[in-house]
Amino acid sequence: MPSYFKEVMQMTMLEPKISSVGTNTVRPDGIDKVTGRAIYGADVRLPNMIVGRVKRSPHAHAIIKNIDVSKALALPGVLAVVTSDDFPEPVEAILQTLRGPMPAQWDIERLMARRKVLFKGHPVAAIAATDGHIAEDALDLIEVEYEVLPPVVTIDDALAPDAPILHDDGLDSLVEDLFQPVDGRPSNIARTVEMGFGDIEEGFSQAEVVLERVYETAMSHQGYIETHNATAIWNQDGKITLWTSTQGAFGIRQNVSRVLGISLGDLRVIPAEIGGGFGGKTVVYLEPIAALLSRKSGRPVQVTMNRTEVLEATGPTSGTRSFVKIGATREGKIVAADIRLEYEAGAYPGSPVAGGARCALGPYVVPHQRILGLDIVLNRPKTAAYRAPGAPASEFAVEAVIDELAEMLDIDPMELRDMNAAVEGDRRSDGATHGSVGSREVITTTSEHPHYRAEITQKDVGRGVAMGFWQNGGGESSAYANVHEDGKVTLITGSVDIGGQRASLAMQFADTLGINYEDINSLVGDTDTIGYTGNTGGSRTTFATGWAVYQAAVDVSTQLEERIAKIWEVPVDDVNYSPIDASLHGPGDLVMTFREAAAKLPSTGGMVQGRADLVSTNVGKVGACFGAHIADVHVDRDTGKVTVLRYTAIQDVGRAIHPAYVEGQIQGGAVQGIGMALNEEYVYNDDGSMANSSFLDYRMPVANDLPAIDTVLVEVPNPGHPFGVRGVGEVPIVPPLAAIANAIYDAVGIRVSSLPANPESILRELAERES
Amino acid sequence: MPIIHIPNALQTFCEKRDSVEVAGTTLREVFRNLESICPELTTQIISSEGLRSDLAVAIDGSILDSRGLTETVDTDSDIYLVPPLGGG
Repeated sequence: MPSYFKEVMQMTMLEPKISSVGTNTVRPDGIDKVTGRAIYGADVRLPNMIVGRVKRSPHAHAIIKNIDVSKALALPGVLAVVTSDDFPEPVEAILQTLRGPMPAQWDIERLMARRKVLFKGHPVAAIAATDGHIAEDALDLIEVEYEVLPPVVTIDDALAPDAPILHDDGLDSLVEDLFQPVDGRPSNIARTVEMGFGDIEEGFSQAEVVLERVYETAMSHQGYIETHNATAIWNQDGKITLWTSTQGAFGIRQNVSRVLGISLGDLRVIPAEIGGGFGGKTVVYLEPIAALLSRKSGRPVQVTMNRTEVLEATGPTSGTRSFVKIGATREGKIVAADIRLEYEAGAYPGSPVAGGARCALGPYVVPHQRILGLDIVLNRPKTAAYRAPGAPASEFAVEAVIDELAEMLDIDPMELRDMNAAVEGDRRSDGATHGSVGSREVITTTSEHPHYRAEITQKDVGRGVAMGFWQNGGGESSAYANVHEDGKVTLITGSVDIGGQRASLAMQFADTLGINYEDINSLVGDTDTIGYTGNTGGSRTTFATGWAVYQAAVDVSTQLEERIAKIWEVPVDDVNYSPIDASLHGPGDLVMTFREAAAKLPSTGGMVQGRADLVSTNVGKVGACFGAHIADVHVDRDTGKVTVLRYTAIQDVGRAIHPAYVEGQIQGGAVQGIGMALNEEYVYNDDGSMANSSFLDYRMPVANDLPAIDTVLVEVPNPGHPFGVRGVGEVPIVPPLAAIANAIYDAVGIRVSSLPANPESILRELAERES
Repeated sequence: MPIIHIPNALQTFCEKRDSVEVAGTTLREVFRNLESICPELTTQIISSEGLRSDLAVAIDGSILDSRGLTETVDTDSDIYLVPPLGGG
C-alpha cells in the first residue's frame, strides 16, 4: 500500500474535538470584499502611474501594410507607444502547449499583431499617457494601413474548399503536420484528436437501434464581472513587478517571461483580488503590453479593458458541431459510439476539443467507441479555457441522444443511464480506467429525488435530465505555515482565491492539527513569496493545495514533536502530536497543548514554519466527478421564450469541506450552462465583426431569469485525499445544456439540436413542426 | 511485448505512430528500450527526476499511484500515456 494511503487512513480515523471541515465558516476575505476595501487589479495605485490603452484591429482578417505612430507620439501627454517592433525579434521555435506544439512566434503575435490581424480586436499598438482621455485620443491618431482579406467566420467557412487560409506565414512548417491538408490543399484544420477502442464496425453490428444526430453549440464567453487589467513597473535595474487579475500568478510569470524574453527571476507577479475567471484568466493579454509601456515610459503603467474588448479580444469557448452515432440493444445496452467533434479554435490552434473528446462518453460504458476531434482556426478570438473546457458541447450531444434513445426504447431516462453507468474500473475513452467515483450514487439519488418523481400537470411544461462528467485536475501546489508564539498561524498558499479557497484551505489545515479555524490567517502569496503553485482552475485547488496545507500541517506537528522532546528530555519518538485534542503527548502523563508548545518556541530555537511543495498526483489521486441535473421548463408557444421553472443539481462532491461554497460552485456552474442552453452566443456579422459585444446584447442569465437552483451534495469521499476531496467546480456546467434541451422536447416535442435555444429558434422550430 | 499507446499530442515525437511495441518487464525497462525507437518521445515522458509530473501513465487502465518506474509490466500490458487536461 502506498505510504500516502496509510497516512490518509490514519488521518481519517482521527476526529478532532475541534473541527471546522463540513461547516460553513466565515469567509476571511468577506468583510474586505463587501466594504470595498479589497484591492482588485484596477484598484492598484502607484506613484506617478500612467494609463495604457490598446489600439485594436477593426478588421477580422487583414494584412498590416503600415503602422504610423508619429502623430500619436506627438500628442502632449503621450509617453510611450508600443507595437510588435517592441517585442523580441521573430523566432523560429516551437512552443509546447497543453494542447500540442505550435510555433512560439504565434504566442507573441496573438498579443500584438505583426504581419496580419486575425480577429477583430486583435491588438496592433498600445499607448501610455498621463490620463485615459489622452490615451484614447492618441489611439485615434495611430494610422494603420490594412489590406482587408475575406474573413473566415464559421466552421463551414473554414472547411470550404476555397477557404482563405489564416496561417500562411510558413511558420506552421515548424510543427510537422500542424495543419491537416484536405485533398492536397492547405486547410484551417489545425490538428486532430483521435481516441477510442474496440471494433467500431463490430460494435454497430451488435446494435438493434442506431441513432445518428448532429448538434451545434455557439461560441460563448465566461462573462466574469471584472474585466482584464494589468499594472506594471519596469525598474531601472531590470526587475519587473506586475499586478494582475489572474487565476494563477506563476502561469502569468511563465508566459510574460517567455514572450518578452526575460528571466523568470526578474519578474514578480502579484495576483490581485479577482472578480471571476472561469478559465478565462489563465492567459496573458495586457501584462506584457503594460510591462513594455512601463519600460519605454519609465513610469508605472496600468492597462484595463472595457467589456467590448473582453468580448471581442479575450478567450471565449468554442462554437462547436458534433456528429454523434450511438448504437444499442433493444434492452438498452449501449454497444457502440462513433463521434466526430468540430471545435472552433479561434485565430490560433488550441480549442478544447481534446477535453470534449475525453469526456463525451465519460458517464458510460461503451465497449466499441471512436472519437475524432478537429481543431479549426477561424477569424475569431483565440479560445481559452472555460469551466470544464470542451465538455459541455460534446456531452450535450451524447446526452441528447441518450434521451432520445430512452424514449425510443421506452426506458426511463435515468434507468437507461444506470444500465450503462461507468463505475470504478471501467475504461475511459483516454485508455485509463475510472478510479473511485460516485456515478452510481448520483444516478440513484437523482432517480429517487422528489423533483424527478414529481408529476407535471401544466401545459407546455416539460422535464429533462442529463448527466455530466469531468476528470478534474491535480498538479503542483505549495503551502507555508508560520506558527506564532500565541498559537495562531499564518497560512500562505499560492492559490488565488476565487471560490473561497482561503477558507477551505485554512479549514483543512486547522483540522489536520485539531486547532481553531479562527486561529488561522489565510493569505495568498505571490511568485516571490511562495513556491510554485498551479492555477486556481481545473477543479484542482481544494484537492491539490489541500494536500499541500495538509502536509504543511503535518510538518508543523513533526517539528513541534522535535522541539518538545528536547524540553521534556525524552526521545523524539516518545512524543506524539494528536489532532484529537490538539496536544503533544509524551511518556507518562506528559501533555502540552499546541498553544502551550507555540509559546515555548522562541526559547527553543525560534519559531517554526511548516512547508510543503508538492505535485499532488505524486502523493494522492485525483477524484473525477459526476453530476446529474433535472430541469423543468415552460415553453411559450407565442413568444418562443423558455422559462426555467425548477432546477435541481445532484453531484458527487467527495467530501464537502465548506458546503456553502460547494453549493455555490454547483449553482454557478448550472447558471452558466443554462446560459449556454438558452441565451448566450457570439453573433457575427458577415465581415467578421461581433454584433453583440456588450452585456446589453450578449444576453447572460440574471437572477430574474432563474429559479432557485437546488443542490444535492452526494458525498463519496476520494480515497486519494486526506479529507476525501474531489474537485467540484467544473462538472456542474456540463449537464444543463442537455437537461434544458431534453426538457424543451418534453414540453413541446421539439428536439433542439442547435444551442442556444433562444426564442427565435424555438419559434422557427415550432413553425416547421406545425407546417 | 507491452504496447505503449501514444496520444495525438505526442505522436509527432514518434514518427506519427499511435502505438509502439516495446520490450521490458518494468516501466523503466520499457521506457529505456523506447529510447532506441523514439528518443524524442522518451524525453517527453521522463526527466532526470523520473516520470514527468504533468503526464499520467496508465498500465492496463490503472493510473500509477506514484512516479513508479519500478512498476512491473506484463508482456501483454497496454501502457497509456495520458496527457494533462486543461481545466477552467
